[in-house]
Amino acid sequence: MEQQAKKVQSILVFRLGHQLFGLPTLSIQEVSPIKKIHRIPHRSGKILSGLVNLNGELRLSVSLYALLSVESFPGKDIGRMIAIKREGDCWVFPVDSVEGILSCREEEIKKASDPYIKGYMEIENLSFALLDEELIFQSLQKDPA
Amino acid sequence: MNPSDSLKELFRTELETQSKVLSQALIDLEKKPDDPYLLETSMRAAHSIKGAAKVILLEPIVRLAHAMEDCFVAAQKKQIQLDVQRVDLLLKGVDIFSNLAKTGKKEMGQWIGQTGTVIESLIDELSDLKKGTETAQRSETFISTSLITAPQEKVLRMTAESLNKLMGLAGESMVEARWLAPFGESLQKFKSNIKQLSLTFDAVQSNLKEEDLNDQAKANLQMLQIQIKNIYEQYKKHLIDLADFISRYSFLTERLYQEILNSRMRPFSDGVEGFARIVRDLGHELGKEVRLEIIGKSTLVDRDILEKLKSPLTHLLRNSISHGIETPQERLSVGKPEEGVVKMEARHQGGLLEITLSDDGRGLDIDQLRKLIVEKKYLTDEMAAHLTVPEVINFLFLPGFSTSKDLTDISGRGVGLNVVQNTIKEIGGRVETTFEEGKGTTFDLLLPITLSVMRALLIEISGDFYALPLSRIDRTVVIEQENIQLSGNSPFFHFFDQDIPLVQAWEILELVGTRTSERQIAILVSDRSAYFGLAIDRLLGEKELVVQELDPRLGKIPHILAGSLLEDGSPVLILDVEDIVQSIKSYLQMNPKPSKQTKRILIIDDSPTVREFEATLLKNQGYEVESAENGKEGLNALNLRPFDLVISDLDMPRMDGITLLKEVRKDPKLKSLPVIIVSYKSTEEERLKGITAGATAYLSKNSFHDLTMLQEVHKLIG
Repeated sequence: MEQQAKKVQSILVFRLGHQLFGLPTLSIQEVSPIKKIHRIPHRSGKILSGLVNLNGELRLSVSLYALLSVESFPGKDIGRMIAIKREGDCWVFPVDSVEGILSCREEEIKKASDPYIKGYMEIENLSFALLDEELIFQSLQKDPA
Repeated sequence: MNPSDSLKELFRTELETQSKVLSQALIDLEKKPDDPYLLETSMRAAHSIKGAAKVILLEPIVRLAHAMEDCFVAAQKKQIQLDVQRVDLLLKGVDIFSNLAKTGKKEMGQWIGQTGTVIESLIDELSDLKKGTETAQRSETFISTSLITAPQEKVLRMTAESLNKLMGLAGESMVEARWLAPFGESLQKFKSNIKQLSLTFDAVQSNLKEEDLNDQAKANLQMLQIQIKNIYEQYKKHLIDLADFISRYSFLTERLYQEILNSRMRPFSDGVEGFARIVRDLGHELGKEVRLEIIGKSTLVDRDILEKLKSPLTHLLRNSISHGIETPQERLSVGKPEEGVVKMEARHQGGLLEITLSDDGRGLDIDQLRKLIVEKKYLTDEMAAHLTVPEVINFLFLPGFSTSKDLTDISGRGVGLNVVQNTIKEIGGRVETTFEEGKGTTFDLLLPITLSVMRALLIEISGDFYALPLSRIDRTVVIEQENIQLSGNSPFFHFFDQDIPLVQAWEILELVGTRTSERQIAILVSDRSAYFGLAIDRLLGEKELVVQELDPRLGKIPHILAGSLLEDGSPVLILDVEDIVQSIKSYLQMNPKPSKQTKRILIIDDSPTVREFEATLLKNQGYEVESAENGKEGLNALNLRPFDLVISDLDMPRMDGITLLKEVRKDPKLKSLPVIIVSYKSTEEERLKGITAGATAYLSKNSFHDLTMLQEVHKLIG
């Protein structure tokens, strides 16, 4: 009989360039096919890419590649867009591919001190970096402002 | 047990609704204190609030509502009559309710704690009121309560965010639905492939000799033939079903979209709910009797426009009551009824929404305004005297102009009318003011019917789609490479008989672009004084776009008004032409056109407004301008300094235009100087007189706004 219930999290794993990353599915609003991004005059920069159409509304599109300093590797994979949401603020970011959803337990995380990364994990033969969504949201909230 | 959040939300909604009902009923009761319908309505409203407050466990509100309910019952029983003071007291109660409705769910308890003492004393006063004057106890039962209320349209509330999401999803459904038609067509093509299969089979079969086939082979071939035929038939049927579905589905998505678009409209009455109260309170404060009439309550207005109109309409209303409507004594003395009337009317007229606010007060005192203009040092006495009536009225809309002697709360802040005009301009409308001295003033607001749909010109800049509101564009022009000239580093081209500067759109928008010297496609935009050419990559035609507000986190983006989506779901940004014209002007000032020897023009006119206007017009074209107030001054200037051209009025003090012309033509130095006469007088007779006296050209003063004057100037001196 376990003393405490092990905390299990559901993680969405996706690929940016050569690397795999994960975000808790609770933060994810939806995954959609890749769409055209419209540059915003006087506002678009490295991180804020522009505006994109999500469900008929114009949303802010950001580059996680730029934030995490990763190079894109388009290859044969069809790109996707992931929409994340927190307290009414929504951001969309393109990724190279979405690998799937995994469950992971808290203790399986190997802590790391790399920027934006909570830790490294290996589940069902997939090695990926679990992102620190708090930190990411904070950075994004500062940027367009 | 704590009332849940959703219960509290329901309570707030009910409180808000009932407060409005009570407010209106009380105001009407003031004029008709015995009206049984009004008393019943008020009693029921207070009763509902009491019941709702009980559920939410807000005890002070329960008691307040109960006290008010008692007053109404007493009035129904004819024990008291609701006079002005009593209505005032009851309205204070309504204020408590509406203020409570405005607090957040979490703060309600706290707010009641803070206002506790006010509520208690109000309850006491109301109890006294209920006992009121001791009228003879009549044993009549109060009026029967079987009143028929008019059937009302059921209104629901939803957040703006929900509505936007609905719009977005409906729009996206239409985008996805558009995929169906081309898909259907490709399936049609597939049908012909099957047909081809069947023909190939026939060919194969015809090349086989009957005697070469054994029974099994024959059977197989037959089966093959039947199978191909079946596939073909079934496929054909499915295609027909699909075509039907595509047509039904497209129709549905379009209707869904239209309905949601239409749900943005609300009746005008929604936006004027608080006004009766303002009229009553302000009237009392100033000792005036005023009645508000609202016409066109059911006229549909875009909900955003209605929201934005609240503030300007409130201000114009307060203005009318404080400055327009006279005191009852004054009104009687000029033969008007004691009660002044303010009318607010909304109607659709010629594709626009027209909202009129008029009063039957004293109108505008133009002379008083002239004095004020001088007092505030805008103009000298003499200049102010020369202003036309519309010019004087324009001063009312300048920031800081107030006609109130003291800055009280009412409308003397001197900011108001300017803000009104700006808000109206923001919506894309305009204000027109008319008055009749002693009879009243009218403000006419002309507005677009909806903000949500805009007719625009679709263009491409640096690979992205942009749109320009059609109403703000003059023309589109294609300019061949050889027609682009350079003035220093600034390119320009010739059109409308003038040199028009050409600026690249991507430069103004700080995008990445390429400077090519091939043919340019330019959009002609203008402000009141000059044209500018905005060069773009591609012209894509006219579209009707549904406007979306951009994410507020982006702030106000320079040169951008809003966003939208195309039929295929591509994002579009709608450009702010005013912003762009301003930027073009600044950009050009940094790279000014070097003069090939700047031409100098002398303007002679006794109206400072005309002088200012003409001077700006000409300076923007790169001319050097000097001005004079009358013929004598003009002649002096001509003798002192060299000029290339004179533009002169006819009617002026101290030497009119004709005399000036004669003097100029007499002088050997000035004899061949081009002179353009610009005058209000434009009969053939006057023209002839001017030309005979020596005018090089004769224009009428109506031609300022169609650039004839500029064309003439350019023709004469280049």
